[in-house]
Amino acid sequence: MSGDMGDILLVFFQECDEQLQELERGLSALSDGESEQETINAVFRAVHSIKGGAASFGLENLVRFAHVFESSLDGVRSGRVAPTQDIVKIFLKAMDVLSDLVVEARDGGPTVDPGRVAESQAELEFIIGSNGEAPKTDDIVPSDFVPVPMDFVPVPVDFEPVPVDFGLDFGFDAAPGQPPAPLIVTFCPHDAMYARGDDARNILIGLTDAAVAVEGEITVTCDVSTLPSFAELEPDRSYLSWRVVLPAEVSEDTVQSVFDWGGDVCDFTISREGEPAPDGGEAVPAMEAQPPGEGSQAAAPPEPALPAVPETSSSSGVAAAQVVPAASPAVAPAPAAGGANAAPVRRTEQATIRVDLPRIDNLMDLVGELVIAQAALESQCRRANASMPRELGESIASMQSLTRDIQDAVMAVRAQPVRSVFQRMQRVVREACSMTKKDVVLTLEGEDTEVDRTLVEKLSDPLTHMLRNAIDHGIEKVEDRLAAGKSAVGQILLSASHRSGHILITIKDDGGGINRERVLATAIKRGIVAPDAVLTDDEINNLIFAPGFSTADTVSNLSGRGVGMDVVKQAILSLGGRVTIQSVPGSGTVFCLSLPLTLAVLDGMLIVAGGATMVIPVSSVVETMIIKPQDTYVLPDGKKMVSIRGDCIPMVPLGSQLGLSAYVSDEPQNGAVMLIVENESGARVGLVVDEIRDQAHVVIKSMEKNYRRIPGVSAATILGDGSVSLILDAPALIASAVGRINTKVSDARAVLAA
Amino acid sequence: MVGKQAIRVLTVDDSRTMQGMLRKALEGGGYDVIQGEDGVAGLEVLQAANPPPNAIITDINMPRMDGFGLIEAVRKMVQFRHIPIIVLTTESGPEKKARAREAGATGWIVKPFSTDSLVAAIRRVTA
Repeated sequence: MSGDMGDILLVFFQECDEQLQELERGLSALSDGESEQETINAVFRAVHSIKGGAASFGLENLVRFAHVFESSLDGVRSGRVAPTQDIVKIFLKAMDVLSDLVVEARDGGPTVDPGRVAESQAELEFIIGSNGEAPKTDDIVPSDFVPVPMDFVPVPVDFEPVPVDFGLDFGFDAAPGQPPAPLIVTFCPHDAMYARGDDARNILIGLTDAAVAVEGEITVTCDVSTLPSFAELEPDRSYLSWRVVLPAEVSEDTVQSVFDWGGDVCDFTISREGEPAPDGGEAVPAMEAQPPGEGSQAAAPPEPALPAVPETSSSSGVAAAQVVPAASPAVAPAPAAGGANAAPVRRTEQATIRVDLPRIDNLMDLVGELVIAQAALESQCRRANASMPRELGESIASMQSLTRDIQDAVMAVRAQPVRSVFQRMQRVVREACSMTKKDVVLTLEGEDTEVDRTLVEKLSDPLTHMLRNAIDHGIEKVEDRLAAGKSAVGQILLSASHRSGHILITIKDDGGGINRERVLATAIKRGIVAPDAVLTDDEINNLIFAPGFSTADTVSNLSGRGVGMDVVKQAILSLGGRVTIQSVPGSGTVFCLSLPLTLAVLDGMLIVAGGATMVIPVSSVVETMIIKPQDTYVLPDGKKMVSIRGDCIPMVPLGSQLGLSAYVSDEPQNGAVMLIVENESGARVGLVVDEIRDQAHVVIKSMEKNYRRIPGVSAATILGDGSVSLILDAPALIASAVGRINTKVSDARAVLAA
Repeated sequence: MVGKQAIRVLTVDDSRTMQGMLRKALEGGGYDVIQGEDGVAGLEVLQAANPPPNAIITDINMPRMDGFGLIEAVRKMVQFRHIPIIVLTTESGPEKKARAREAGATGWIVKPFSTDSLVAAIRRVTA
């Protein structure tokens, strides 16, 4: 057994998510003007699959809507309806409804507004109607639909037969009338019936079941009169015909349904005893319907009376059919034959396998440990034996490169394309558009760019908010766009790419750009900056990330949800990334997010301060230099500043900032090293450290999970010598060292640093 | 037919949900189940299977190779010319059925299926 229905239900919802993505991908392609049949098929299949699964679980709302959706897609699939932009829009809207219905079915959460469902359904039905087909709402769920019994849901299960169009009906629907005489059925299969994998046996079983349903029995006679001698026998030909007497209670319809599927490859007659049997039919090669008791050779009446239990009756049915085995061409492939002629035994490698996430995370952890252990081994060997044998050195070197390869391989396992998140953004844009009554096209680029899966998940919220912001504040109203000589439809480009170990995500709109005057005025009004502050363009741009900032004249219901761009920025920062803005008034704004590829490993600079070795992310270090005493100045409050190429920035002695007692003197020694670090708004401070020791890839270990949060420290790592080292949180250090946005920034550098 | 060995059924469906339900239903009925996720994979599984399956259940609407294609291909393979193939689909249009007959399908079951009817159907064609 493969688990219970609960597991399968989970799989179903997983699959729904995948199908919805597939649907989104296909519909976007269609809306981009692509009209490949395979795309249309994939879109159709996605909805079809969801419907099929939903029906199995009795999720009626979902089935009903998916059915209408599917029917309208079928119009496109069959070429009756052209996938115009308007029609694709209706599909996109229906997709959103469908995905909400899936969520509703899964979480039982907020019910989807029936009005919305009905509206979308009406639109879809319009599409169906436009090709002259009335929507058949009746056959959404077969009338005798019985949900599969689920262990955990008390679904009423009365074992009504699902339509099994098999020629093998259960016969429960036998009319309860009182037929006058036993029913005589004669049948003679064509060769074609056996060619279809069917067998006279199956018909006999079907007839037996019909008899069993009325608690009766059947009498079978096999006609072997046309059977040639063994030498002349052709295994593929059909030579036998049968005559079956059924109890009087069995209706003709029931018997008819037994022949429903195979009737076209089998001549058959149905009559009541005493009535003249209708002529057996045109192309009967071997058989005349025989009146009862006359001339029928009882050559193979093995079980004239079949027992009432279906299981045994079916096996006796087999006996009936196989009394003359050589004559029955429907000999199932013998296993031995199959084994022998399975010559091209190809292993069916699946292209993908599904692995539980915790396993991969565990693997990642272990590889992290391996990297550490490897580094420890290396440093010990080096320390213990300066004149290490060459072979040992080589072994260690090759192990080191293997370890690194393993680490990369595991990273690749965790890597996921950003596609899933990007595609979700289409919906965000659609909804934002309908709320703001703007028309915006979102173009995606680089969806195949891969990043660590933990990162992919965390991208969704910031991107959602930035896109809403771009539509709400960036893209102008249609009138304004037309007045500015732009097309009425706004364009937003969302792209992802790799750049030197980072992933770069840009959101580019062709809107009005940031209105810096208004931003500055608002910031002054809100007390975010001093009224007399002189700020660069870039600093003003960055003000929109300040907490509690909103430039909209009227707070729209879209962006005014108490979540500002500051939250976006916080989210990006917490991922170890940075945000930069470039904005040209009148022609648009570009937001660039630069993020690390993974949250598990970090490129760090090993430094020593206050006697402790620490790691600072290389990404936050702008430059390093030796402090010249003549460049340092002391402010009246005792804080020190350093002048670098004309800019004055605060100096932060790292040891004392972190409260390391070993660090006695605040006085920067002559020749001490200073790291210039920068935060996202471009504020810089100089961190004074004792020395820079090394650069290394370090495995990030959570501080909160293993100890507790320490201000100024983002995480910890284990170095090659086995010692624990802290990873510094540069933005936090800067924030604690200086006030908010009071450091002068070189805007040119801030932009370049993106 | 196969002695004490369980009767083996190949199910071909691109929906993992459906595959899961088929597996549950059939394994519950004492069958040995092997699976393929579309027509192409179904054929590969069929050819590689040892012992070969005694019956095939296939969906119609699948990527790469649909159910009709699968049935036709199976019927062209000498050793599987007579293997029972049951179509399991949500479709019920007469033209689809006609195509399936023409391709050589042994039976037709409409989704959603009940475990009992499915097992009964398989029992009959593999009896």
